[in-house]
Amino acid sequence: MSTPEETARADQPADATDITSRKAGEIQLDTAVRYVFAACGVLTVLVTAGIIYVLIDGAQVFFASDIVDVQGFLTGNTWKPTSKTGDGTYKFGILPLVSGTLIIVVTSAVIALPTGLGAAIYLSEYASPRTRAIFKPTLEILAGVPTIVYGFFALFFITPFLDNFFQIRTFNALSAGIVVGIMIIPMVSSISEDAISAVPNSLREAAYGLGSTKFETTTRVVVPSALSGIISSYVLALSRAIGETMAVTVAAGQSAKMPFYPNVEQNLLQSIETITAAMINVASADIGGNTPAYDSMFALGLALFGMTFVMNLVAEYIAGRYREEY
Amino acid sequence: MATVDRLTFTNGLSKLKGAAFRLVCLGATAVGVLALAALLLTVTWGALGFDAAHPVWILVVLTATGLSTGGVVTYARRDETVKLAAISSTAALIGGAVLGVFAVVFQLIVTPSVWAAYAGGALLPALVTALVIPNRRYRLPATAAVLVGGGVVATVALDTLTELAGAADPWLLYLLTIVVPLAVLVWTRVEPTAGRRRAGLLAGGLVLAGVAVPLLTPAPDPLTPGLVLVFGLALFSPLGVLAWRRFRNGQSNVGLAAPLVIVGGAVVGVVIANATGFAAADPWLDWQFLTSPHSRLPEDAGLYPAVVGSFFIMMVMAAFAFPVSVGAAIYLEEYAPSTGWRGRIVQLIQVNIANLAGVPSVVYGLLGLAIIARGVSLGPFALWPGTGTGVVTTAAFTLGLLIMPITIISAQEAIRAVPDAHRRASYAMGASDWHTLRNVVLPEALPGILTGTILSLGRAIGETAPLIMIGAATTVYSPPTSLNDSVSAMPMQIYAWAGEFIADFRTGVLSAGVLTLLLAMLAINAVAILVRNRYERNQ
Amino acid sequence: MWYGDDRALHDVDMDIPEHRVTAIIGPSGCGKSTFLRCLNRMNDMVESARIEGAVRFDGTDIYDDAVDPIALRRQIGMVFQHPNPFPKSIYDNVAYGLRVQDEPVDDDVVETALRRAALWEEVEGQLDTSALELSGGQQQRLCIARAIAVDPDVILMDEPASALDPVATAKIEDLIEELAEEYTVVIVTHNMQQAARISDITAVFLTGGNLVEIDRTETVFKNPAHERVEEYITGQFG
Ligand SMILES: Nc1ncnc2c1ncn2[C@@H]1O[C@H](COP(=O)(O)OP(=O)(O)O)[C@@H](O)[C@H]1O
Ligand SMILES: [Mg+2]
Repeated sequence: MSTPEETARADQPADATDITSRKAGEIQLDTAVRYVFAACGVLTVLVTAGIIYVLIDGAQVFFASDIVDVQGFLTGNTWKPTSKTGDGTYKFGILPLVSGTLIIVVTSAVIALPTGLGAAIYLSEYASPRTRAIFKPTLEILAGVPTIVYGFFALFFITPFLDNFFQIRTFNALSAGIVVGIMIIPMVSSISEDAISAVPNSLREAAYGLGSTKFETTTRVVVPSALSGIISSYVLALSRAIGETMAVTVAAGQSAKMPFYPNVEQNLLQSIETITAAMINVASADIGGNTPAYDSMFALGLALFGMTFVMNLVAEYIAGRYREEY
Repeated sequence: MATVDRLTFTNGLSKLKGAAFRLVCLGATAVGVLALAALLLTVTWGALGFDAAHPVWILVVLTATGLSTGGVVTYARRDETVKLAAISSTAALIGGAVLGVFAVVFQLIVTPSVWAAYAGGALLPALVTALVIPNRRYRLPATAAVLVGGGVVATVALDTLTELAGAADPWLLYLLTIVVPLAVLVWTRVEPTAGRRRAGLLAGGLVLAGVAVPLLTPAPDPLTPGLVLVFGLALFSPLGVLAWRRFRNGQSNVGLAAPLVIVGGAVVGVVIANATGFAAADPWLDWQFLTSPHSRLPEDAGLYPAVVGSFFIMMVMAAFAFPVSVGAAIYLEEYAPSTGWRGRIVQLIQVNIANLAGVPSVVYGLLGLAIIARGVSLGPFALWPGTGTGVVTTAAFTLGLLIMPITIISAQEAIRAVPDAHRRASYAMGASDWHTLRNVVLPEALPGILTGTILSLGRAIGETAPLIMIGAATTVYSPPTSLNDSVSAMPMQIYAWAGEFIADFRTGVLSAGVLTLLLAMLAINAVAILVRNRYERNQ
Repeated sequence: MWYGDDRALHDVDMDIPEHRVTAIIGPSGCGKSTFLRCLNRMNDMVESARIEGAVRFDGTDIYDDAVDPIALRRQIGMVFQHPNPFPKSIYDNVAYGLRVQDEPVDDDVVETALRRAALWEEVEGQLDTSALELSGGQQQRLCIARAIAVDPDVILMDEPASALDPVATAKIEDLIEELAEEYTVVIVTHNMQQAARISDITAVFLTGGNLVEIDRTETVFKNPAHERVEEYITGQFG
């Protein structure tokens, strides 16, 4: 489509009405900047790739040794990576750790899921701007308290308190579960609150128009409409509880156990060990690289990463659905 | 009137249900507040050694503090400007304290003579260039050239320069490289509006303080008079800027005294309480605690190397993680295609970031251990040499990767909040992507980006699990001074104390450590909230 | 002109004379803004947008590969429906285009642009205050000043007065008439009286992105060639 005029124009020096070029270097600078930023974006993919590589590589070394195979790891009911058991061998069975993690997750869920939802409802439907201005930052701070501090809080405050009522060990699952629950309340409440606030006002007005009370509107219209967001917050929070490390290491102890049955209450009162705590235990045991115990951390890490990764994806998927709805 | 009866009856019952529900929800919200209150109370109680004090002593101190606080609050309530001044001056002091700790740790690591070499060789000449060149067009390139050139010269001649600088007392170096330039800056800023007399008074006062503070205030080991000066400057400069702004806008500065009055009340309370003769509190968190390393005796133990370590790690981490995170956020918001197969890939990157934010921190620790610390090689080629276990660099990179996803997400939110109309206006003027970004998008998104990055600092300072995984020591006896030194961090040292045999470690010393950590984290969060509030008010 | 599979403009063929005000009118959604954005390639920013045909500016097809859209936009200024000054000082807003083009910024240029935009008297002495503190009408005139500060050849305006009150609108209209002495102005409006008052040429788009009629403004309003245009102008059109 090149016209004669255009050819003529190209011969002219870059004057004020030139529309084909800019000052030297401008375009190159733009392109260079774009690539630098794109590289930053790509780095995030490299991080994921690095994590997956490290975990799989380490786990593969672990399973390649003749101490344990994948099946033995997944079904074994003893975890003794750094000290030998009676029969003179180390034991790498993940089940007691999974049990420990599950106990923590269930306990914290009982605490956090209803509380977080209640807080979300209060903040989005009832609270005045003034009360919101107090509660919101408090919850944010609660979310920012280092997890190890929660561990000490459980160990030196909650456990002695619970000791008044139960026969409880110094290190126990109950107080660790309680603090993990407290810790994930802000996560549930802030994501749920976003979901509840995203419910269009027209729905609320429609409900009021039919003569519903605020209570009915909230529980029968608003909360059900925000359900996918709320469930998404639950899944994310539980995933966080699975990955929680220092609070459970400090407060729940480091002794891997299979669950108690039929004395189920003992599961809460005795000390346990979670997957994460087991990793910390091995890492601080000072055993040096390239031992089975060292390699086992990566197998545990892989299991942990797998669980949380799936849960995060599920949460993302559910949340994506509620974003589509409005 | 049957209908009315029916109506009132339903109303009564459902009102009750509604009120009960509301109360339950309020209770749920309050759980968090109560937990936080209980946590802070127990920790503060233990750290300040209140259990050693007689109830009367505690009562007197609390009453005095309560009175001064209450007085300030009631006074400030009546007047919106006073209230605002009280809040912002408190925040400015907190921000100044955070800044001060960073500045002191920075100086501890680079040492005064190296600082003086670079300040004298590059920073000051660049500052002079920026002030002297009037033409906007040449100012930036010239300043940059002087900065880089001076930097190169200082690096080449580093030995000579540091030797030269080493001859002088460190505080003298700070006086010349920080106080005097600052005084000049204050003069140029203040003189046009407030006149020569006032400007001279301020600048002169600043220099005088710069001489007097190091000479007159005692500087307990390991602080030097120079470091006290550095800390003091950092502590008060935000307050100074605040006071100057308010003065220029013709606002009253009465409210600025609020934090002083509150602290004063507490001090007076302690003095009176001590005079009563009842047993006083025996605080674990005191000067000695902040300035000594761990010891076998609880009374002598301290957090000093860990505090320095934590802030050192934060600085290195921020220098690497923030630019990369903001860069990624910019790419995703401003450049990334959203349609076609490329758009699909960008979407994947986005999901990936959300997922990374949910990866347990202990897994990042494994990444740090296996790759960052030990290195990766592809056959004979070392792709990454490995920085070694338990050293500053490894810790900084590991935590940097850990906070990257949350930093990216918050930076993205800030960038997204910039109205599209502004971008369109810029593009319609024929601005390039980079120009639009630098002059329109980034300046507007900056407060939001800053808030997010500062908050992620607050998150990183409490991280423990990844540090344990990369083999960081729980206890080191001297603070790290270079990137390859082994390092401990506040939460690591605290973790070690929890396992000590002597009970005082697990109660008093531990509480003091936890309170220090919490105060650091709260101060950092307060700075972030301050930045955000300012921004929201300006909107 | 397409957005994805939706065709927004059909076979538009028109000449835009120099130093005249060309008004584009038509019901909402008929593609007026889309057309205007074709003229300075702002549609490039919409990923789904696609165009066929040519837009000639001084004889050059602006969609030719050799044309740099960014350099092009420096010759063709644009003013939007909603005033969109940057949250910077008044001075920096006007100087923005100069800085974009890396040209020296001097106070005279800024003053001249503000004078030509009939804003100088109102903002003299407060150039350092934020542009956001101005009223809506002032902001729009500031946007015009920002556009003319770089001395473009053409100024495109997309309903520049629709978000303003009548007094501000009148000021903008006076301004447009003056600007036509030096610039080629293309203005989109849905206000027919406005088009009749200020334009020399009027183009009428009707639903579906068709250019139905283009002629001297008087002719279009007094004596349109198409029945549908007459219906639209007399207000009988849906
Ligand atoms: N960015 C876009 N993406 C997709 N479709 C668009 C976009 N902008 C405008 N359209 C569509 O193009 C048609 C013309 O719109 P527009 O040019 O804004 O009309 P007008 O300015 O005359 O009111 C409308 O049907 C509108 O929905
Ligand atoms: Mg339009």
